[in-house]
Amino acid sequence: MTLRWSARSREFGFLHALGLAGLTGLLVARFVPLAGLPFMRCAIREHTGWPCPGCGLTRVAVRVAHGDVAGAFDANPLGTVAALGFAACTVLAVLQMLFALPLPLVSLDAREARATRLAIVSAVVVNYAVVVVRVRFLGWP
Amino acid sequence: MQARCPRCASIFTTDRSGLQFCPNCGQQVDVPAFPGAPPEGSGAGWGGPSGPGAPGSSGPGPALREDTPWERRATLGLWTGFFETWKRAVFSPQLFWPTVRPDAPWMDAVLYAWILATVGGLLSIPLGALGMGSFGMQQALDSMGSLPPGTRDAIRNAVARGGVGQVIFAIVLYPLILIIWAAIQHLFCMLFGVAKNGYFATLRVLAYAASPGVFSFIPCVGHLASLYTLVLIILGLSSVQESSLGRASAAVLVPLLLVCCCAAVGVVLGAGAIAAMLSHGQ
Repeated sequence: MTLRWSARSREFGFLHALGLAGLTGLLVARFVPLAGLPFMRCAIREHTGWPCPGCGLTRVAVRVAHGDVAGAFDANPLGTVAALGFAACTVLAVLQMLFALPLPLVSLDAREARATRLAIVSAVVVNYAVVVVRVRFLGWP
Repeated sequence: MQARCPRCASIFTTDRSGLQFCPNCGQQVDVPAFPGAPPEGSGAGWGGPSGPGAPGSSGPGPALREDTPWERRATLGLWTGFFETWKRAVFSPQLFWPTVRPDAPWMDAVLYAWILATVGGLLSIPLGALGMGSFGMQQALDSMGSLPPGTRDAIRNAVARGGVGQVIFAIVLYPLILIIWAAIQHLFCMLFGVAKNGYFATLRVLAYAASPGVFSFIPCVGHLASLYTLVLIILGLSSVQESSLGRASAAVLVPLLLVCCCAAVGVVLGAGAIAAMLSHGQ
C-alpha cells in the first residue's frame, strides 16, 4: 500500500461528490417523511417474509439523520457504517474546501485490492445474515 | 490498424497509412502512421488482452479517443454537436464509447445530460396533462390504504399540477442528482475494479448514457429507455474505464440488486442479456 498526499487545491473531486451525496441523503432523511411513502416498502419482504439485502437502509438514513445511531445500528449495521461514512465525507469535504487541505491518496497493489474487495463482500454477507436472523428468527421489525 | 473517419465517426480497419476513403461515407481520410500498432486481431484493437482489450471489453484504448461532438460544438455547431452525440450514444454505442475521453471536462457531459433531462421533462408535460400517468397514480393511492376524506383528491390534484414542478425539478436538481449518482456508482466501480480512470470518467459515462432518457416521457417506452440506459452505462464503463464487460455489469447491477432487488431482478436480466448481445454483435 502506498500513501501519497494530493496538492493543496479546492478543486471539486470524488470526496466532494461523496460529501454532497451524504449531505443530500441526510437532509432528505431528516426532513422528508420517507417511512410514510408508499413506494418505500420492500416488496420482497411483504410477499415472502424474508428481508432483502437492502432492508433497513431507509430506517438507517432516517435514524442517523435524527442522531439515533444505536437505532440505526439495529436496523442495518453495515448500512449505519455506510451512512456515517457518508456523513464523515460531508464534514471532510467542507473542511477540505474551506482550508484547501491536501487529501490522502491510497493506492493498493493487486493483492491488497483483492483482499479489500473480499473483506467488503464478506461484510455485506455477514450483515445480510444478521438482518435475516433478526427479522426471520428474532421477530425484529 | 484501425482508423476513424472525422466525418461520420465510423471506425474502419486498414492495413496502411496515408490517404484513403472511409468505407462508410466515402470521405477522404488521412490515416497517420501508427508505428506501435500491432497487427490486426492481435488484441490491441477491439477486445485485446488487457485493459481495453480485456476479454469482453468494448474499448480500443486511448489511441482513438477524442472529444465528443458535443464537446466540439464550438466548431461543429451547437445543434450538430448535440444531435451527433445523441445519435452515436443511442444508435451506435459500440462505436461511440471507445472514442470518449475519460479526462475531458466533466461539465460538458453534465450539461449535455442536463439539456436532455430538461427536454424530457418538457415533453412529459402534455402527456401528464392528458392523464397518462393516472394508472400509476391509482396504484399508488391504492397502496396507501385508508386516507382521510379529500386527501386522495388533494393528492390527485397536486400530482396533476406536478408537470411544471417536474420540469423545474429536472432543470434545477438534475446535475446534483447526476453527480451524486455518479459518486455512488463510482464506489461500486472501485469495488469491482472498474475505476481505472477515476470518478469523472464514471460521471461522464452516466451523463452520456442518459441519452435515451429523452424518451422517458412516453408510457412503456420510458421503461425500455431506462433499461437501455443501463445497457449504455455497462458498455460505457467497460470502455471508458478500460475494464471488462463482466466487471462493468457487476458494478452497475449489484447496487441495484442490493438496494432495490425487488424491482431490479427483471432489469438485471434484461440489461445483462442486451449488453451481452451487443457485445457479441460488435
